[in-house]
Amino acid sequence: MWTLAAEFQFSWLWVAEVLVGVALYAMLAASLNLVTGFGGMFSLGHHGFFAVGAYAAGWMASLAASVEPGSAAGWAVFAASAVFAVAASAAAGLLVGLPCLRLRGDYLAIATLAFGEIVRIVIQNTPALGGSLELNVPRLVMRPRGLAEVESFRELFLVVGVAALAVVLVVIRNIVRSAHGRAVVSVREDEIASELLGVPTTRYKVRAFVLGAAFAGLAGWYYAHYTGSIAPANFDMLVGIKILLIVVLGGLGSLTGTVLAAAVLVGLERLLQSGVFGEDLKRWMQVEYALILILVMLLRPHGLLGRFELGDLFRRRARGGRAA
Amino acid sequence: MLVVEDLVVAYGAVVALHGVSLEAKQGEIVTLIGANGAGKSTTLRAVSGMVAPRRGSVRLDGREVGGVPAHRLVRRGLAHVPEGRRIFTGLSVRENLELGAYTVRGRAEVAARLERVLALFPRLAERIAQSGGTLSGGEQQMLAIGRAMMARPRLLLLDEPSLGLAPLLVREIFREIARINREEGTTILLVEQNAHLALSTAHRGYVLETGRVALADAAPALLESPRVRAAYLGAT
Repeated sequence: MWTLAAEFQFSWLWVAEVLVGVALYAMLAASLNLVTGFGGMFSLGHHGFFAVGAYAAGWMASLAASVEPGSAAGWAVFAASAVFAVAASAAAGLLVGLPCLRLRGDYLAIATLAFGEIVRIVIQNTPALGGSLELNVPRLVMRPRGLAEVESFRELFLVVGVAALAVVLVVIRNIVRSAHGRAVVSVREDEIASELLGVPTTRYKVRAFVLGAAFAGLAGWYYAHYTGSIAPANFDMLVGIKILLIVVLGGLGSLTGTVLAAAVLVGLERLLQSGVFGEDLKRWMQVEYALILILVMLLRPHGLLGRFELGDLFRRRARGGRAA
Repeated sequence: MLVVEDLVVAYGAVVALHGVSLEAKQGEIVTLIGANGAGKSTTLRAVSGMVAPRRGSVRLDGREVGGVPAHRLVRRGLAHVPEGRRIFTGLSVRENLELGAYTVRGRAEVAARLERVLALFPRLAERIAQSGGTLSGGEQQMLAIGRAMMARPRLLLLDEPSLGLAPLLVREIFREIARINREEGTTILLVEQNAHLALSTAHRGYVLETGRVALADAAPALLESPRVRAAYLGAT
């Protein structure tokens, strides 16, 4: 058995850092859940859209390096870079989606995976984006305040992250619940049957894919401004797989599950990394991480929550039965 | 209502239809019979827009629809119940039926259609809250047809409604098909392996052989035809 390492302390700074990570991955996974969980499109390249958003925001911010952090101009560039990041990744989503959404299942997964790699390699070979080195993203929204700087910056980003996540969740939920929400679900259930009932399946798929890409871009914007420097290595395939893992772990088609799974996965990762359980467990972290995932998938094959949503607790509408 | 002329359909290099011509008039039940691979399902797919014809024409109410995507044809009054039923197994019977009314505007209209379809298939009313996957094969077929009827189609395409069903259920399904034709006035194009039952239900029939129309006649005449009897009805 292990003993808790005495030297580790759960400082507020550490907790805030973990929560920022949870918000980031919840955003990424929720956007992928719209594509995969609700839309039925298997994408392994979501990190590509994340990268496009991050670099779009980072590049724009780097042009404004001389702007006083925390000034009105700083905030304006901060906001404008969000719009730019979302637009860039949505455009990338459309570019990839139009030709690739004709592909099904495994083939779509391979095509999106290739897209993710292409994005990374293009960035690596673009000097204006820092090439394979880091692109520095100047701080735009914080006035340096000596030692308290780090803490207040992190708190600010926790608020920004929660707000951005809330926007993503509300928009996705409204789409899924909308009059056409059931049509989206029908496309996932059986595309041919949906088409034969008059559902314009391609339009729905492209729309969901582009919106998912746009939200991944928003997550990229958040990440770029938070870390202050981004590199191609931050957007490799493992990131895409981790996003997919959170979606599957939380339950395809459950936003509540996505947030919960992001919290569990990111929290677990950071706890093991922190060494709070001692050096032995830290060393075997990757193994433990994998084991926990295997266990969850064995015990909860439909993810932690399946298709359950928090709102289901409060809603007792007479509804058609649904397979558990 | 439906006129198909010289229809050629190919999947890549494989030509499935070599110039099929057929017709379905308002209010008719027309059946396509033939062996596996004769091109029956392909004909339906080309009519409903699931595959684009390489050559030839498909006209619905006098307007060319060859190559128009399937989802647009639903609004023009066409419904296709595909092979293997393809119901949404994870959704309830009610949700399945409501999706069938995707092109229907207005809650009241949808409710009226639902009531009508449940009157046609009372067994679906009993199972309304059950998930589609828990239905028996026959009930699933009823659900597939009922779902298509939600859009109040004028032309209904049915692909192998008897597939995998017990004989008793097959007869029940065919009674319902005849009833839909009679009571709703729906024109029906029926693809079926069970040639005897199909010809007994239909007004006219076409016999397809390797992508061509081999015979076309009134259904009773085909039932008596020596060639059809020998090849498709198991008579010697």
